[in-house]
Amino acid sequence: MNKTVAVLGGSADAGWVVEELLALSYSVAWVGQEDLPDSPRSDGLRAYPRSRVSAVSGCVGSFRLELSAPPERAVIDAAAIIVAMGNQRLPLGADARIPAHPRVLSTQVLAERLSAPRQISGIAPAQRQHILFALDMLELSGKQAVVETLELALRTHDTWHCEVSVLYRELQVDSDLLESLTRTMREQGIVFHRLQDALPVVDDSGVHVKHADGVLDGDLLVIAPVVRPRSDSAELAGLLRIALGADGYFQQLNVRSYRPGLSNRKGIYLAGRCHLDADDAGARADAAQAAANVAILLGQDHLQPETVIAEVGSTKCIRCLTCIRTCPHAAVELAAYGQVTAAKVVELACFGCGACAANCPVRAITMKGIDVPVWLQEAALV
Amino acid sequence: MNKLVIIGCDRSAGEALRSLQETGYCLPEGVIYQPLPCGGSLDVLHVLRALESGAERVLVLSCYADACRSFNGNTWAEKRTAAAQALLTEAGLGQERITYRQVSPNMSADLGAWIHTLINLEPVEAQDRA
Repeated sequence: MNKTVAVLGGSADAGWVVEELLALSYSVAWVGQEDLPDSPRSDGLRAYPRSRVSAVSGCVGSFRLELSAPPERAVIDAAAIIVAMGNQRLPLGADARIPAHPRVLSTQVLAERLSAPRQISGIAPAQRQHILFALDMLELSGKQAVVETLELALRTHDTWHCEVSVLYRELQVDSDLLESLTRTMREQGIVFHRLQDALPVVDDSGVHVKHADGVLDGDLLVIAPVVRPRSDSAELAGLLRIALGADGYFQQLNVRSYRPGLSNRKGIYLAGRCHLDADDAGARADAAQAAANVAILLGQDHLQPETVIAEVGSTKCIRCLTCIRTCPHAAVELAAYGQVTAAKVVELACFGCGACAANCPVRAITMKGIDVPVWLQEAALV
Repeated sequence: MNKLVIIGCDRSAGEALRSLQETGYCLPEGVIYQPLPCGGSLDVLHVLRALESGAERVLVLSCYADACRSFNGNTWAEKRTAAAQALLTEAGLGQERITYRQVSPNMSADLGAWIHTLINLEPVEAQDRA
């Protein structure tokens, strides 16, 4: 059995997934639209930088991905696919609601100034200045952006010895790193304020931001980056026929009772910040989980269908395509039965949920592997 | 005659029932549990056949919204239960014979309470006469 795993995405998340898969001795085909980060040299790794997936066919165990990788096209045969595209950060100027003013900075600009303090021009920081760091100013900042901004705030306080305040809307201190970081910041006199729903006012006298207890005046306002799902997520979700949530991130199956990282299609897994909000540590753990999901799938030499699966009676099928439209797992396709074309359930891809059977208008689909009592017979399950 | 037929998603209702049974609980006499692979596979006919076979009441159970393994199985189950209730109303049989509940695998105590309540209700005909 082909045990190649296709990893889609050029993010750091994808790099961690590749590392985990190589450690488990799987062959990896790594596809990214951009230049790929450095990865361990390995015979099992084929990298496709600056490549885009243009078509996907097949099912779990035998996916075929066509890549448009100028100047040539490439084809990858893979048993499983891991989507690890990461998310994208918007530049500060992308939102017109934030005033363009020298007193308003992105974290990136401030980090550059911190690294080269002697080259500061314009409003130079000084011991008596007050620098405000705003999380969630326009929309919620991602977890990694929060960690980086708080670390920057602490570094600014330590380097320039100025007064630092942090404004936030929803700061969830739910990791050891954030716990120790916020504790250290408070011990060093950095004050946290809850933001009100108001945009900052910037004038020549300084920056003024409303918070829960009044107005905070500062000399500089540093705004944490906004993270959004990648703009090409919808296109890839369409090609892979996996679900995208209302927020634009890839949607994993029932998060309450199942392993994280499962998509609605068998053999396609999600990893990292294309489906969850995580800092680097969380994304790294999710990469290990994605590799573990692959190991569970490909750990044996053959793939096993579910015990309960759907089956189409090809002579009853009227080719209305209702089953293809309603299957939440993209497990039904049209196939030729001799000279007849009818719907066909791909056994390996079927989750056995029965949505197709219940929706079939001519009751051409039955469920195999399920006990049906006499009183229920002649109903859709039979 | 069955007092109550429970038709439920085996991944939520089935799990809840199994953990209830692990505590020593036995389904009362006249109560039948019919598992479905997912709430999405519920058919109106399932509910009607249960009543046709002599059940006094039917309890349909599916997962909570966003907890379905197949995304919208609970929505299908709820809609089809409503359709079955509408058919009963049209036939003048009273839609209270059919109850729909959302359940999660850890709601075994709630499930036990629902069963207790439903089997101790007065028969629907008696309610109609009253």
